[in-house]
Amino acid sequence: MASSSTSSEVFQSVTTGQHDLTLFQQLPVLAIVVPLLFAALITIVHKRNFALIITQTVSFAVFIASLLLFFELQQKPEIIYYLGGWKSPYGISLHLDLLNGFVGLLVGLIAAVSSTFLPQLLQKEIPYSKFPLFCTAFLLCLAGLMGITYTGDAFNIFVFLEITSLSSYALIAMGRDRRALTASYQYLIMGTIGATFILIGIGFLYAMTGSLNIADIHLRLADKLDSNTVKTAFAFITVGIALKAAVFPLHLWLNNAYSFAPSVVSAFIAATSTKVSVYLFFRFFFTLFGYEQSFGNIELGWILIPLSILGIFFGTYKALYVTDVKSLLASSSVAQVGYMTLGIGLATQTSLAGSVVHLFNHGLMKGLLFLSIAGFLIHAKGSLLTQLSGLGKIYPLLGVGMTVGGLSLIGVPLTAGFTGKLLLLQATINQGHYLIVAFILLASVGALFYVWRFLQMIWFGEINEADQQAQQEWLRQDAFSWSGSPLNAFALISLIALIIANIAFGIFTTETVFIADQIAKALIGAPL
Amino acid sequence: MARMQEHTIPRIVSVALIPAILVFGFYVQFHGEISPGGGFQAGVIIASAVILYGLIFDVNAAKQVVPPAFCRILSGSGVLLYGGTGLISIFKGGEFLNYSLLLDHGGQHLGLVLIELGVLLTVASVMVLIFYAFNSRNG
Repeated sequence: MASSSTSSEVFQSVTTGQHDLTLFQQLPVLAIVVPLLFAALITIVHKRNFALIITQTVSFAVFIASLLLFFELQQKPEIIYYLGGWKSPYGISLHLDLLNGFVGLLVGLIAAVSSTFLPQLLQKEIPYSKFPLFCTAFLLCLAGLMGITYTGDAFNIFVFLEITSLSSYALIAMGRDRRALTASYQYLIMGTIGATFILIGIGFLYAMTGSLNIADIHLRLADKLDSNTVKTAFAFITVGIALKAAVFPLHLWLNNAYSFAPSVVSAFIAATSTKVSVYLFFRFFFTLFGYEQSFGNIELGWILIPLSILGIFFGTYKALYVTDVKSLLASSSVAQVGYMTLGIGLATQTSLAGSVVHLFNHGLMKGLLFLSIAGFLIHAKGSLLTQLSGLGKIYPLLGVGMTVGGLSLIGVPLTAGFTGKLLLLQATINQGHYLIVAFILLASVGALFYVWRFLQMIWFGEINEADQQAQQEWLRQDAFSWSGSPLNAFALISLIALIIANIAFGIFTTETVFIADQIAKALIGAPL
Repeated sequence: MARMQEHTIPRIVSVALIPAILVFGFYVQFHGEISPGGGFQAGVIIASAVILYGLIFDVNAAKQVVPPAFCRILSGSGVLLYGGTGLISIFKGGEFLNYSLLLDHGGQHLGLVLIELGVLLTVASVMVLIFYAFNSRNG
């Protein structure tokens, strides 16, 4: 009997014994589990309209949950949720702080906004019979992204990364032509290598510390930082995440994946997936290994800064000559990821704040740009620059979306893109890297040119006869003709909301910069 | 290539093997929490029985036994069973997947059995679905 009483004592000491959690306290896990379960429900019911309604409702629910959590995180430094009632480090815990609350908000927002474009996608790009499974993949991808963002467990990150990756391979493969299949396959190979590298790294850490909880690993690593195993783990994890985040020169999968995916998927994945991977950089470099290890012992900056600059250069350069708008935006994504990793590489408080702000704002602008293109593609034949010729005149609102998004991409003052770049510039000037300053400015001029390439085509190009006819045809059929765009009211509102967000985050910057500053302070100073 | 149905020995051996594989699959499933094994392994073993049947006696025969639509429903149900177990503990005011709240005594045991069953359903049906999907490529 003695042994049984001690085992129950042990049981009590490692479990929380909670049985009066409020719905609000359950939000972190619900944001992950609800999309996961409804994804399963859609495969069972397998009805088109059901899938559509569920996907949209769940995406909005996740958005609201992430918003509530984000506000809650402004009051308290962290929210910890013990899955299964097992205390950390024994069980898996969700560990929310301001950083992943912020990233989670971005994921929720983009998911909600892109889900409003799904009916258009249904009409044009996805066969009716495949639509329920498409929605399943969409929700699984959302669940995975929320999971990566909120979890406080290193192995959990890998698991959710796989959920996200596998579902996004499926989503990309459903693109409108057969090239989507090769693009998806390319992404599958590269993504699997990346995920495997991350897994190997986590395995090494587990071998060294016997723990998978990120905060716990950080504590246990303190006296093992010089060991080669930990350094190898660091290398594997860095390369693995760099593959996922499309850091130059590991970005080659990204271009085709974004270009050939269904347009809504491009918007969703471009605005969230690489951002979440960049978030993982923060999590591993600062929270898990710690600032001292990543930038003191290992001097990551020497690798990350040159690669970021090369990424900015090649991304911008490629965007200057490709003929497809989606490919252009994908190339610019490589450049923009370069800005974010540059901020990480510099590793000062200002640069990290800039990186965080840019991460969020770049999600907003890429979401807006890709969704505007999704709107165009309802009637346009393809996304070649020439095929979008003059469409801004036919669909002014979508044209405005492209314009605001484009200006934001350049980093014009009073748009969202300006804030992050300004902080990064400040950080580089403070550190005296004038060459990098010159380079960022040069790249911004490059961005000016590539944004001008599509804006000029949209606003000043010749209107195609076929496009004109398509619009006339549609105006006869559709009730929402007042909008002058081929979207339903729901999608229209979300598009306008994104346009406003892109401007508002450029004008009212104090709040975001303050939050980003707090995040940066927490990352450098006392890791959680 | 000669069709599999004409090979007498594999056909007869598989007739004998398939029930044994199924029984072994369930054995692995139900002893999962006290010995090596569990839902995933059992799911693969059970699916392998169906796949063997499909390989030997033609896929269409296998599809009559286990229709693809049935597999699709089963694959979702497994996830729902797993997640639903977790949701019950949420409704009881605890954390997601806190099995202790399922019953006054032995909740942990019940919870584990339920989620392993969920894993079994999903893994087995998805394995069979993958087999069907590969097969449909040959036309």
